[in-house]
Amino acid sequence: MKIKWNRRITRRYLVIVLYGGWAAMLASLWSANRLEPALALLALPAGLAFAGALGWLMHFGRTYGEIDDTRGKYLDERQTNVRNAATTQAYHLFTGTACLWLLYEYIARTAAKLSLWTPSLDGEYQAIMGTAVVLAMTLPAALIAWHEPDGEEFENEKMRETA
Amino acid sequence: MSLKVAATQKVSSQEKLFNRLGVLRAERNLSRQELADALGVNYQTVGYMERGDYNPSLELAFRVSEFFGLPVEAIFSRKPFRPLSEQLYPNVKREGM
Repeated sequence: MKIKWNRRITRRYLVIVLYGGWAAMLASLWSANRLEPALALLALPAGLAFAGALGWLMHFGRTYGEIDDTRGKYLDERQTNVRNAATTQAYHLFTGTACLWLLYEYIARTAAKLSLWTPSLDGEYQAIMGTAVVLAMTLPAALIAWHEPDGEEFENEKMRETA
Repeated sequence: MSLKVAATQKVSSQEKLFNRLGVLRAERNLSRQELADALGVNYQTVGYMERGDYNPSLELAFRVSEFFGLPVEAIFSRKPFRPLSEQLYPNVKREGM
């Protein structure tokens, strides 16, 4: 199946399915643990949607904007700048979120009278670790997928000019 | 700096480079894809440069200049270009002027 990466709406759907699928999978497993074991079945379609979106996003991250000519496959200077900027932003977002989480956990554990929630089950820690891994793997590509402008605009101009 | 601005590498009005890429490309009847292939860049990069949303590196600016056979300053400028018609015929009176 060939996906039109130039369409921003397609890329945004992919990002929504990725993080939505992950969140739905965690929510169904959490609910199965706390409420009704049968809810664990919902984790299967959510997990499949997440895995599919993850595969496509990783592929997108590797190939988007790539030029394939006699010199081989490479990125031009603007695409390289876009990737560098996305990686830097992802780093800032990730480390910022991690610092906020550590601060919260520290406050929650030291100020018991505040009765703040802290992860108590193994599954909750695994979910947090898993989310951290997913974000670290996907944030740069997700940022590019979300923010790169719609290529249809250029395509349409190109069609007008060559018509 | 917002995420969107950084991700698309837009340039501020102070950093903006003006260019004649669109005119030169139209003169030679080239599509963006053809120019991009000749320069070894993505066709979207040509579009960004034409709009002034992306400032090329010195190396790419020289590649553009070599491709069109013109000096760099004839293609890129920090100040807006005067229309070619005004430069060629400076003494012709125009309506509304």
